[in-house]
Amino acid sequence: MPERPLRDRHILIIEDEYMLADELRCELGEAGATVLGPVGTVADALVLIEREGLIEGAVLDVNLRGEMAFPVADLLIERGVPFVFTTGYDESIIPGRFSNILRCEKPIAVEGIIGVLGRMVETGARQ
Amino acid sequence: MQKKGQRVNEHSDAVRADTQMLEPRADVLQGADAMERLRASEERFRAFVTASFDVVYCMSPDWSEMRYLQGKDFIADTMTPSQRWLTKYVPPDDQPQVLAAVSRAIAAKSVFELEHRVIRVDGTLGWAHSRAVPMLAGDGTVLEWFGAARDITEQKLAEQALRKSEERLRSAVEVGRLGLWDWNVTTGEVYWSDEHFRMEGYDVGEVAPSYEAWTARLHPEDRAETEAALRRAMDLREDYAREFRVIHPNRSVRWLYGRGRFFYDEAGRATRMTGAMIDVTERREWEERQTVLVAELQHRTRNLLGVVRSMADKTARASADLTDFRARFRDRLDTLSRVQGLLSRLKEHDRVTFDDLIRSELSAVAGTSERVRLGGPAGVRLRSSTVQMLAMAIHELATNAVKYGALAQPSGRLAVVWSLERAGAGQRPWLHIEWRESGVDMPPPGVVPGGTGQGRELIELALPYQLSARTSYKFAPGGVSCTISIPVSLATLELEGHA
Repeated sequence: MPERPLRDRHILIIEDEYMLADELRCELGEAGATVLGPVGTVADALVLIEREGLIEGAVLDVNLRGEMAFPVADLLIERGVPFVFTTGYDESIIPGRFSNILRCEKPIAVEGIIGVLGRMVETGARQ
Repeated sequence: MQKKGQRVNEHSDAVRADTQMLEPRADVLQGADAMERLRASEERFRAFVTASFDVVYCMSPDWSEMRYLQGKDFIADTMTPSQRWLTKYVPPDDQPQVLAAVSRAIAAKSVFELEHRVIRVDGTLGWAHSRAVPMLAGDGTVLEWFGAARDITEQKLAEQALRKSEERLRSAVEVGRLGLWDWNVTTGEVYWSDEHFRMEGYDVGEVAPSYEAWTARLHPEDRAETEAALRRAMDLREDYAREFRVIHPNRSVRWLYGRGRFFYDEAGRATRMTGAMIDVTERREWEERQTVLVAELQHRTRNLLGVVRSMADKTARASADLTDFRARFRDRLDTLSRVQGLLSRLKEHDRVTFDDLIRSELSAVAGTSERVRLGGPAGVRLRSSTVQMLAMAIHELATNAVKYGALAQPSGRLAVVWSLERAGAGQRPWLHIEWRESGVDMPPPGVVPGGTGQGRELIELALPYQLSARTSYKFAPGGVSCTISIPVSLATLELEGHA
């Protein structure tokens, strides 16, 4: 039985590329997470975050169908949800207010993200 | 001698002095003694004039004849009276000017004075500053003209060189759109060229140029650093070189690049700064576009790598063995390559069209076949973000048709028809695609036809997720029947008429 660092954790996936979203969904699911989404647009993401009662962590693609996902990041921060950015851009494109948010460069190492999310969620839960 | 020579230069004095000297000739022309005194007087006079000037000459009252000319090494001498003086000494172009000045002098009985070109001893042209005064008899008639000239060739050449250099500089400054400044650091006085005013959004002469008039235009975000850089250049005695933004009264923002240098007195205090600026707004904008483009390219490339990796994972899960995996993976990678090929051939504002895409995929997978029928408008433009996913879906459909469906059996037929339609509140254009296979012997109900997994997933899940498409996929009695409707860009509508 592999380790399940995200067991029963509610993790939101925001990624516009189906293949990448699907891969994250599978692997986070295998790591035990209850996957929310995936959603692929800024508008869908905002609706889902407002609606969901429990979000314990999120993976957020910086560019969603050509639109920058920073409003989504702001809302996650407001709700106190820990998250990581995934991006094909270098860091210069990300505004300074997100400088403490971890940035995973694409193509992402899913195992790494799972590890990071696991630690984040645990820290968040203890606080 | 020197003192007298200078006096000859002065017009009224020269006339009086010369008349006094030549007085004996008019009044007491008698006896050998008198003649001797006259000769001696003339020689004295000629000696000091010769010492002070390069040329001395004497002309008849009406200037028709030159009585003599001593030209030192500047211009050739004339020792016997000659009427050919004009052609001998003055180049044709300058002759009218010389004659006009002569006429004026004769008419006024006053000084002839002119700068003109002369033919020098070696035949080349030089410049002379020539003056002649009339020698008057007691009754006021002109006895002769006495003249002296100086070689001003070097001075003239220097003036010409200076003028040329100034013209070159001015034209370079104008053509190069340079804004110049010259700042007297001690007094605070500043000179700006016209372009400098314009660069900072002032009308020429609208303000008195000053350090403050410059900083008033600086973009607030750039002001502190730009001024600090100026101080640093002054303190460290380095050239000042900086790009900064200025805001014009019409709120437009321009990027300027300035270079300048300080000058210092013996005590080491900066006394002056001169410099030049150019407007680099266009270059900055171009750089910013480049940066955006590079970031976009990076984003797409990295996404593509992610897609390839997840495609490899999916293919691996569906493959029987490594040989099977190799064939399937290559096949899918080729599809991605073809899409990149279609996209990379585009120029700006170009789009891949649906008919390009369907032909490219079908011919790659199935070759040309009489059993395939394509029908629909040409030139339906697809968003670049749409192309990759749509191509992958079509590829899976085509692969399945070749392996198991309409193109695997002799009786099978495939029709792909498409159309454009406006729908919804915004009357957005939608592209409807219908993929219909017929004449295929289908497996009995309850048995899933081979190879449908990934194609079906792409159509039923990926297209709706990624492209907001509406899709259907079903096994009809004669073969697979699939519909895909995707929103296309508004630009497509403009082309609808041509389609």
